[in-house]
Amino acid sequence: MKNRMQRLWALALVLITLALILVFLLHTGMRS
Amino acid sequence: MRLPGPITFDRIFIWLAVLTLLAAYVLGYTRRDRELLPLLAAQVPDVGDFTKIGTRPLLLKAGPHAPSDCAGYYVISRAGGWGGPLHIAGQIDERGYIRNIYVLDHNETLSFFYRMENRGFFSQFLGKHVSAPLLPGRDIDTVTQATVSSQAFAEAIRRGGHRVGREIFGIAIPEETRPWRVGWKEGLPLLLFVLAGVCAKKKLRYGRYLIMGSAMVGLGIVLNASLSIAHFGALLLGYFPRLSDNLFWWLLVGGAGLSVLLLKKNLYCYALCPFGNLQEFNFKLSRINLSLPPGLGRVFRVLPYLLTWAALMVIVLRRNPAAGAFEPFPTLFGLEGLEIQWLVLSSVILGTFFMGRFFCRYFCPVGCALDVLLIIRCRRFGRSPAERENIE
Repeated sequence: MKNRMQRLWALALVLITLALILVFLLHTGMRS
Repeated sequence: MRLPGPITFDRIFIWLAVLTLLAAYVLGYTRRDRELLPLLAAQVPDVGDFTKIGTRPLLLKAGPHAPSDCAGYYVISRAGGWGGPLHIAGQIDERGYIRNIYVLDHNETLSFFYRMENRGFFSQFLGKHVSAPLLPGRDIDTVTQATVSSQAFAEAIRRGGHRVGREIFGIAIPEETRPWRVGWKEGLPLLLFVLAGVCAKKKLRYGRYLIMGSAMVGLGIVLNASLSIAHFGALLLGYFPRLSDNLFWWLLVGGAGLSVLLLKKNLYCYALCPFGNLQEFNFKLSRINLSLPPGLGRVFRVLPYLLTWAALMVIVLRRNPAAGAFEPFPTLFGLEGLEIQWLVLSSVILGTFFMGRFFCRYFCPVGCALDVLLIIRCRRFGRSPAERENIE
């Protein structure tokens, strides 16, 4: 159970970072 | 240690990536000549009409009905910065004093640019006469951690100012001589690359730690000069900074590229990258090792490739190498950046405590670009980005 929670935390960290990076790229990509 | 499971890349995806990048390049190329005059007119709407006096650099005179604070001459000049060409417009009054500096477009890393603005870099030109040297080290101070950008902006302003001095005011201003910029700053990457090469060859563990520490302090905290996808983007766009002015740039990019091409070793990621080193220290500090759900770890190793592709698409579409640089290093070591960059940095820093080389493994476009170079060099497809830390 503990292991599962840890894996979900890891997944959340990767996904949050990925989302933030994509927001940054969209932000600079859209700027004319 | 080798991490399990090389990724087999479908050739269709590789071709798709290359073709979309080519298409974006063509699209960006057709829009490359953005008119500079409208950019200036947008910044000084009160001037009305400009009268063109000369070209190369573009020299203008404000219309007769312009208000007094907008009157005088405007000169648009360019120089090559850290991330690509930049254009400024200088407003010079009837007596030859610089009244305003307008940045029309630039490709500098945003955190470097904000740093310069916040440190009052541009305001030190105001009130100076066009016959002044306008030279960093003489009458202009560069901004630390944004030295190359400062020198480039100063060069553009000096070019424009001196041109007005010669042509409008008839002042004999001698042509500047361009000495090579060589100092400890240029020696540092060279020394670090050589030492890293020795450590990688002899497998010196503590020697590597020593280099990592020095790189983190020297390249990271002091110089804030990490390799970025912007460097590769600049080369892709055909922007090659002048060697005499940007020896440091070339040593960093060249050292990273040549170590891969000649030694088949990614020495930059191995010991030089300040952020990579910080991640390793953080991970050792926390003693916690989280891993992704089984199966997902391998799938997520495609992420750096996808993100590098996305970053390069942004770079070639906007023809701006800095636009795609999503790495958090300049924000961390320069302590300047957009809100979203701070958010990325916080999230990444948090991750580095719980997963080994968190950013390198799942996101880093620099490691990915060097990896692709390594793959091409070795003519062997299927190395995973995570393997770069295990190059021994």
